[in-house]
Amino acid sequence: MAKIFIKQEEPRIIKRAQAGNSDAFGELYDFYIKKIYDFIYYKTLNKDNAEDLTSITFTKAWKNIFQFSNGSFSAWLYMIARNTVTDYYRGQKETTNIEDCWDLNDGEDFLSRIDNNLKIESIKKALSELKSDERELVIMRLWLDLTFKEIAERCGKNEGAVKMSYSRVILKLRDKIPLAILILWPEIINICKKIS
Amino acid sequence: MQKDKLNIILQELYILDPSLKEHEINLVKLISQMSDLKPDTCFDAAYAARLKEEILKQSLNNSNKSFIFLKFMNKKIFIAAGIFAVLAIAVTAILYSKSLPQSTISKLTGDKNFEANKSSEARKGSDTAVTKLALGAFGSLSSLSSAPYIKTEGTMSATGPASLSAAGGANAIPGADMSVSSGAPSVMSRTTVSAGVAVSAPASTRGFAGSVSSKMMAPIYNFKYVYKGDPINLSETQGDVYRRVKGGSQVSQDLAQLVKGINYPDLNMNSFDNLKMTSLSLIEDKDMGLMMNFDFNEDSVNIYENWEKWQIPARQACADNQKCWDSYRLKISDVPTDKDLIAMSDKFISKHKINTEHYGEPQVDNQWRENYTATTDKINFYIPESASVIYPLMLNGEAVRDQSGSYNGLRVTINLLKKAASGLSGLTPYRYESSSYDLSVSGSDVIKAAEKGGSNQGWYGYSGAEKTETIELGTPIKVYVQLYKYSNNRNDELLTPALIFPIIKAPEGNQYFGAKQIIVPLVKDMLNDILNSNQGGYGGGGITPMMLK
Repeated sequence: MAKIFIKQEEPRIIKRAQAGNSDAFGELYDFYIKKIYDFIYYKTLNKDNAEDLTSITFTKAWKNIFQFSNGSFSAWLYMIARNTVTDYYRGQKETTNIEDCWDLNDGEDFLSRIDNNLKIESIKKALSELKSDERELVIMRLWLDLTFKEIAERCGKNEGAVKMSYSRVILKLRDKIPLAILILWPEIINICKKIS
Repeated sequence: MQKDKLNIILQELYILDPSLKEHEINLVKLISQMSDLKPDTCFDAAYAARLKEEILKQSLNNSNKSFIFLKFMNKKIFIAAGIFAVLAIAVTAILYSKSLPQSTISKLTGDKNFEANKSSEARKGSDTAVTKLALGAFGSLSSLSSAPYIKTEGTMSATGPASLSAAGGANAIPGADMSVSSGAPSVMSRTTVSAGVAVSAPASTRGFAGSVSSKMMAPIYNFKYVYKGDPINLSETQGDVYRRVKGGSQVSQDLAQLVKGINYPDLNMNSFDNLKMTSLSLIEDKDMGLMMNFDFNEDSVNIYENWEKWQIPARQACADNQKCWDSYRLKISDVPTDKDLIAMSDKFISKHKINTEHYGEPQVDNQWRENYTATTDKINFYIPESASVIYPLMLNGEAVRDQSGSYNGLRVTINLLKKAASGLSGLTPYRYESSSYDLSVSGSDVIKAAEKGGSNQGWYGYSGAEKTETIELGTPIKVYVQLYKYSNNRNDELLTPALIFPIIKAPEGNQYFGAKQIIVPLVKDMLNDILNSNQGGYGGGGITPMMLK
């Protein structure tokens, strides 16, 4: 049976990891691997990229764990993941302000590499109007099921500010996305599937 | 998408911005679609195991130590844990009413009777108390005012109505001397509450609800704030900041102990140490039943509609037929009077023995009525299906405001379709720590900060604006404002002294979507943040919210 990670024990586990104890880092890894992988996947929408970037994220975390001082370990880890994704896409494209795959144009072979083109294309349409941090907020709340407190922790932001940003994003989505498209999405996807 | 999750997300949004309730149909579709579009991440446990092995091979300074392989939790364990969690909550809910010590129940419910029956005065003191700490005990408050946790154009309609009554009121904080009063009556009396709903920014306070029209087009104006009130004389060099005491309650451990006593066949609960319960959800399984969420970390209780039990089946059958939905829309005549709404709320408070000792007189959040009054298209105006009654949190005899200037406190939701109270938020124990901080005594600095938009900074400005309009600010009153401070993995809820400036004049004929009042913190660190901020828009240093004509 797997070792159960007790969040309250996290500071002590981190101390052990900082002392070079790989078992301790293994406990942290086990607890965070899926969360970080999912987070990266939602930002890249590509399994291979998500695996590679997750690998880089945890390698960086392990090599630099002694630099972590205090505060939220998850916020630190998510920051590494976020920066890793940003660095990757910045290297892929000259344009600045690229923080995740949502900002890439469709002209690339991006769509040919994704696992579920139709669904992801629909998601892209829906979320392309949002800024990167706004998309992240939607992803964290609706897809990762994180509470506002957890989101605030991971983003290093004020919980109240996160809540207000969230309501603004929902309003923005409501205004930006024509309802007809929302209603028709499932039908459109089904039709496309039949055609393909 | 699961209905419970959808309901929770909707309720979260309605608490953040009650006006969103007007868009429930669209929101349900939007959120459901967004949630349903969640892609499968194709997480590969084998990959994760390989990666872990690879990473941990790169030991930092302990490369010779053998690595103990940690397996991932398999599906069976996940299922067992899930079943256990459900059982634990169910059993806890049953035991809760029968076995908990009365002190625990009183903490959960705020029941005064239980409190009165307690013999330990010390315990009572810890439930309702303000503990004085050393000077500056909450650390630097710098940067708090620069985080614009404030409703912007799109959410302005959620601003509390009575918050506009500050036309020169004299709500000075006791012990905080400031000579700006002009003799208005207390905003906390029931009779003056309704009078306080009057809009002090005439023809300029229409929110987006019901008033989105062809006027939402260019030309675009910027504007700046200009102070037109009385001279401000501040003399208090120090004032108390309050921090709500959260967590540390025995309740979560008491409940966890009950769960620990469960004889679960596939898991030894005694193998876990120092268990605490972080949250508890209960539902009333009946028509118009409620759902209660206890958050033991935040020490708060929220009550929502048990969504499925409040549905109107015939309306649900409308599906995507908008005409059908429209036939169920409320008319203005369907909305109860404020007096009736408050009566419904009071009945709810009384029925559930909710402790309102530290809350002020109730008042109805009537922002939508202002929008309704302002709009010319009354037929198509969407009457919200819920109303809010607010019981403002009181501190030193004064009502606490949120960062938009609206009253902050206990909020009871009234379902207008069913004409019944359907929810509650903001119920927390009255336990605070206080600490003195240096306050500004510079009236000119305070005015300068107000003219920069106060802590309501972060508005959208538009560099291509054709014209800059002036928004006039009136004499401020002193209030406590609720702020959040996040640091070291801790989210503190602070009540800080501040001035609130009413907007007394906005250009006529324009739809002004900016703040309806400007808040300026008096704590020096926070005030300096605003004064030193680069924000302030494009119009010569003044903050410049976008104005549409």
